[in-house]
Amino acid sequence: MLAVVRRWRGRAAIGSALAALVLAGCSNAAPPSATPQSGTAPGVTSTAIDVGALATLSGPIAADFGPIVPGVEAYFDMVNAHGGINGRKLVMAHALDDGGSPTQNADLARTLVQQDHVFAVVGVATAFFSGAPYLASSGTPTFGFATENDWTPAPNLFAAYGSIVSYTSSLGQFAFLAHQLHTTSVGVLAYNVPQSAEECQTAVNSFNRYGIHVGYSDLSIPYLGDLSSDVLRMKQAGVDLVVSCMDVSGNLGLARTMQQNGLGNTQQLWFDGYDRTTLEANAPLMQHTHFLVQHVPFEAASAFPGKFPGLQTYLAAMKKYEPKYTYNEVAMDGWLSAALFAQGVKAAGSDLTQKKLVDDINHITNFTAGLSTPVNWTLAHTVVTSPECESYVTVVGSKFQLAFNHGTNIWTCFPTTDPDPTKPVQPPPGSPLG
Amino acid sequence: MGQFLSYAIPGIPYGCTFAIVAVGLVLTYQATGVFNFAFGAQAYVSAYVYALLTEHGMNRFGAFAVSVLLLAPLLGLLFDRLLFSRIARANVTAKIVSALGLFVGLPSLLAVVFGSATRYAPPSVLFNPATVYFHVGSTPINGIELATVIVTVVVVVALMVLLRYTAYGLKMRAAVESGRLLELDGVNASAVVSSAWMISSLLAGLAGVLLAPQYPTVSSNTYAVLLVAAIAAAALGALRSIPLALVGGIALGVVEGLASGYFAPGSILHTGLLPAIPFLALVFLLLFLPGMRSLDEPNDPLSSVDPPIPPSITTTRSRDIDRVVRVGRWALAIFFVFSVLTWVPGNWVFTLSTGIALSTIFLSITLITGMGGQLSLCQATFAGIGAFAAGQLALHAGLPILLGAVTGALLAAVIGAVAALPALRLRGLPLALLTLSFALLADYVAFPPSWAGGPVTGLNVPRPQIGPINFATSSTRAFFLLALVMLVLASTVVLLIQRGTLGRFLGAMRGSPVGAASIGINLSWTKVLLFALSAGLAGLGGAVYGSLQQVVTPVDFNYEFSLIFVVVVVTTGVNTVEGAIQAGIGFVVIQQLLSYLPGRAGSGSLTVLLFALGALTYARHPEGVVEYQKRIWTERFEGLFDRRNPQGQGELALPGGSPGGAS
Repeated sequence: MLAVVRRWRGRAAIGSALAALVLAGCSNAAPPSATPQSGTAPGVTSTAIDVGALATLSGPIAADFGPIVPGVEAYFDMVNAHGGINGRKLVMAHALDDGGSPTQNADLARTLVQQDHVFAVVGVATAFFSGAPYLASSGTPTFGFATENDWTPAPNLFAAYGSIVSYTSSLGQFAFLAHQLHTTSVGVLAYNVPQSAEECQTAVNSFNRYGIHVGYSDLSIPYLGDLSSDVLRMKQAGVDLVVSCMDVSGNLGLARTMQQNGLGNTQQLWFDGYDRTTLEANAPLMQHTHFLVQHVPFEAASAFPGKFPGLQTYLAAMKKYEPKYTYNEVAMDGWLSAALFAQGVKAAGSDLTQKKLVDDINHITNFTAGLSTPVNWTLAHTVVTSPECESYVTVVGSKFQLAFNHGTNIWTCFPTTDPDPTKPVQPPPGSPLG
Repeated sequence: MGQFLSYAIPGIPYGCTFAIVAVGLVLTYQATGVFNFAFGAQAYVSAYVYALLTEHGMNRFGAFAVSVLLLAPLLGLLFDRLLFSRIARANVTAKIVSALGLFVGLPSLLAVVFGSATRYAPPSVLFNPATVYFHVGSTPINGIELATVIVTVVVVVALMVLLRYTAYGLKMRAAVESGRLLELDGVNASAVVSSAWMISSLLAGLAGVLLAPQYPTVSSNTYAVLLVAAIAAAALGALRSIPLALVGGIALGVVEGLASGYFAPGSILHTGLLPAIPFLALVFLLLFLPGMRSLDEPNDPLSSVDPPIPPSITTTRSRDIDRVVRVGRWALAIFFVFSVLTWVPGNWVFTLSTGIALSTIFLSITLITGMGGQLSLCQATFAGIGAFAAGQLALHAGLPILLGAVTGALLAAVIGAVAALPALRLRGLPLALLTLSFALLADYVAFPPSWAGGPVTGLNVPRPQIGPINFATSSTRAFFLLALVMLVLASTVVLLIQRGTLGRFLGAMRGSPVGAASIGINLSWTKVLLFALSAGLAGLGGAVYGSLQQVVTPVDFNYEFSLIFVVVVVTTGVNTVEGAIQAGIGFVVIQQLLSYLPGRAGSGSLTVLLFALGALTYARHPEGVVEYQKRIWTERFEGLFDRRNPQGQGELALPGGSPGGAS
C-alpha cells in the first residue's frame, strides 16, 4: 500500500504544480449586470406576440403559484377577443413548470429565451426566482409576482404591486389588527424559510413596538412539520390572536390542531388561504380567520355592485374558465401582469421592440388596472411608495366578508415610516375607491 | 408527569404510521427474501390512484377497492413474475438496484401517465380526520390517528397468526429458505412467493391510502422518508420480527413526540436533532445490532462472489475494428467539442455542459460501485458538499471558485473518509442503508442551515475568471471547455487508479474480501481510501455543476438524486469511465430532446423512467445496457466481417492493458 502512495505522490506533485499555475490566475467573475434592452423583437410576427410563463405548476406548493397562468391567459383572451393590440394577438406560447426548484427555474428561464425565443415572460410565480439574473441580463421583459427581492432593481422586471418586497412597510397593519380585535397576547408562527420568517418577524417587531404582548413565537417551523407542541405552548401562554406566515396547507394543519386542543375560537391572521375553494372545503377550520390583501377584495364586487369595474371585469373573465379555473389571488396577479404587459405593448405601438416596451412601462406613474392602489413605475423598481395600503377580509360562516372598511373605501393605509396603528391615513389619489 | 404524557401519547398513533410500513417491510423480507426499497413507491402508487379516483367523484370505498384490493396485489404479482422471480439467485447488489429502479421509476411512471399536477390529500376511508373521537388524558385523538392505530393492530395480529400459526405461513418462510426443498414436498414454491408479494403489496397499498389524508399532498417523497423511518423501526427486529417492528415504530413515534415537546422551538435540538431521529436510530441499529450487520449474509458459500462481469468489448474486439473504433471515437470527440464551441445553440451548450459536470459526479459511482463493489447511496450528498463549500468559500472568504472547487473536493473526501469508518464492517444491503441514512441526515440536518446549503432561495456559486476570460459574461461555451478539462482530469485519475495497484486491490476486495485480506491487503485502509477518493470526485463534480448553474440548493443534491444517479450509471455501465460519461451526457440529452415534445413538463420524469427501466436489467447485464448493446453490435459486425474475410483478418486482439475494461 505504501508503494501505491509513493508512486502517487510524484504524480500528485506534478498535478499540483500545474493546478497551482491555473489557480493562481483565477478569481471569481462578477455576475453580469442588466444590459440595456436591445431593439429586437423575438417572438413577434405581424399577427402575434409569443410570450412564455415560468411558474411552479407541480409539487406541494403548486397551488400557491400555478394559477398565475390562467390569470394571464384570461386577460390575453379578453384582449384577443377585441382584435388584439395593433393587429397582433397575445399568445401564451410556453408555460413552463419549475417544480419549485431554483435550479430548474434558472434553467427554464434560459430555455424560454434561447430555445423558445419568446418576446416576454408574462406570468412568473415561484418561491425561488433564480432565473431573475439571467432574464435581467438578457433584457427580456418579465412580469409576475415577487416573493423575495430578486426583481429589484432590474428595469425590465415588473412584479405586480412593485418590484420591492418590504415586510417592514406593513409594520402598522399588524398592530392595527391587534387593536381592532382588543388582543391581549399574540402567538406568531412561521416556517424556517426567509419569506415566511421575515414577514412574521415584522409582525413580532410591530407588536413589540406598540406594546402588544407576544406570548409565544416560533419562526423556525420545518415545512409541514408537526404543530402540536407549538399549539400546546400557545395554549399555555393564553394567546388570543395567532399570526401565521405559513402556506395554506400549514395554516389548515394549524387550525385543525388548534381546534383539537380547544383553541378553535381563537382569532387568526393568515397570509395564504384567501380562496373560495379552500373555504368551501374547510369552512369549520377557518372561522375567526382574517386576511390581509393587496388588491380590491373579491367581496367588494357583491358588496358594492358596479363600484369596482376593474374587479368585475376580472371576475367575469375568470367565470368563463370555471370549473377548470376560478378566480383567486394568484390568478389576479397573473391578470395584473398581463394588464401591465398589454398596456406597455399598446404604448410601444406597432414598431414593437423589447426596449420600447420596457421604456414605455417605466414611464407609467399610476398603474392600477382598477384592482390595486397606484404603482408608479418610475420608482417602483427600487422604492416602496408611501402610504402602504391593504384590505382586510374576515371569514364569517361559509363566506369571506370585508372587514374594517369605511363604506366603499376598502383600504387601510399607513405611512411606511413611523405609522400610528390607531390612525390609518387616506389612500393615495387614483386608488379604486368605489 | 401530565406534561410528559401529553407529549408521549400523540407519539403512539404517529409511531403506528412507521409501524405499519415497517411490518410490511418485514413481511416482504421474511416471505420473499428481498429487501423491498420500492415499498414506499408501491404505497405511493395506491395513494395516488385513490386520490385520483376520489377527485373524479368515485365513492371512497370504491376507490379503496380499486387502489388497494385490486391494484396493489396486481402490482405485487407483476413485480414478482416480471422481475424478482427472475433474479432470485442474483447477488444482493442486483436485487437492490432492481428495487431502486422501481423506487424511482414508479413515481415517474405516474407523472408520465397522469401528468405532474399536484394531488391533494384525499378523504379518509375510515374516520373523519377533523373529528376528535375521544381524549386520552388531555390528548385528543382524531379520525386518522384512530384509524391508523386500529388498522396497525389488526394487521400485526393477522400477520403474526398467518406466519406463525398457519401452514401457509410456514410455506412462505420455507420458500425463502429453500424453495427447492419445499417443492420436494409437492408445493409450488413460486406460487407461494407470488402470494407473499401480493400480500406485502396489499399492505403497502393499505399503508399508502391510510396515511394519505395526513399529509397536505400525495407526494412520493413523503412515502420515501416514511420508508426510512420504517426501516429503523423494522431494524429493531433485524427485519425478521413483526412484533418488534411494531414496538420499534411506536418507540420511534414516542421518542419523536417527547423530543418535539421538550426541545425548545427554534433551538438547534429542535431544528437539527428532531428531524434526524429516525435516521440516527437506523445508523445506530446498523452499527450495533448484530442481526442487522449480517443482514444479507448468504447461506450459499459461492453467492458472495459476484458473477463475473463480461469483459469490456474494448478488450475482445478484433484489432481492425478496435483501430476503426478508436479513430472514430477521437474524430467524434473532436467534432463534438468543435461543434459545441462553434455552432451548437446556447441552450444545448448549457445542457451539454451540465452533462459534462454530471459525468464527473458519475465517475465517483464508477469508482466506488464499479471498481470497489460498494453500493453507496449518498454520492449526490458528496457532490453537494463540494458545491456548497465552493460557493460558501467564494461568498464569505472571497476564495477563487476554482480553488474553492478543489477545497470542496478535499472536504468531501475527508467527510467521505470519516463516513467510511462506521461502514468498514458493512457491505451490501447494510452499507446501502447506512449510506442512505447519511444522505437523509445531510438533507435534514447538515444542508438546511444557511451557513451550509445556503439560503432557501439558493446559494450563489460564482463562475471563475481566469486572466482575461470572464466565464460569467462570456458565453457558456467557455465554461463548457473548463468543465471538459475537469472531466478529463477526473477520468485520468479514475483510469490511473483502475490500471494501478489500487485498482487491483479494489478488484480483489470486490471479488472476495476474505481472499483479499489473506494476501495482505489492508481492507480497512483500502475502503477508507476508496470512499475518500470517490467522495472527492463527487465533490469536484458538484462544484463544477454549481458554478455552471450559478445557484444551487440542497434540493439539487438530495437523497433522491443519489438514488437516481446510481440507477442512471448502472444502466449505461458502472464499470467503465466511458459508462459514466455516457450516463452524464445521455441523461441530459434525452431530457432536452424530450423537451421538444408537446407537454414537455414530463420530460424529466420520462427520462428517469427510461433509465429506471434500464436499471431493471442490471441483474442480467451488470456491465450495463449500453455496454451490452455495444458488445452485441460489435460481435454482429465482426461476424459480418469474418464472413467477408475468411482468411482470418478478423482475429481477436489480446486483452488490452486495462483490467476491468476501462476505456
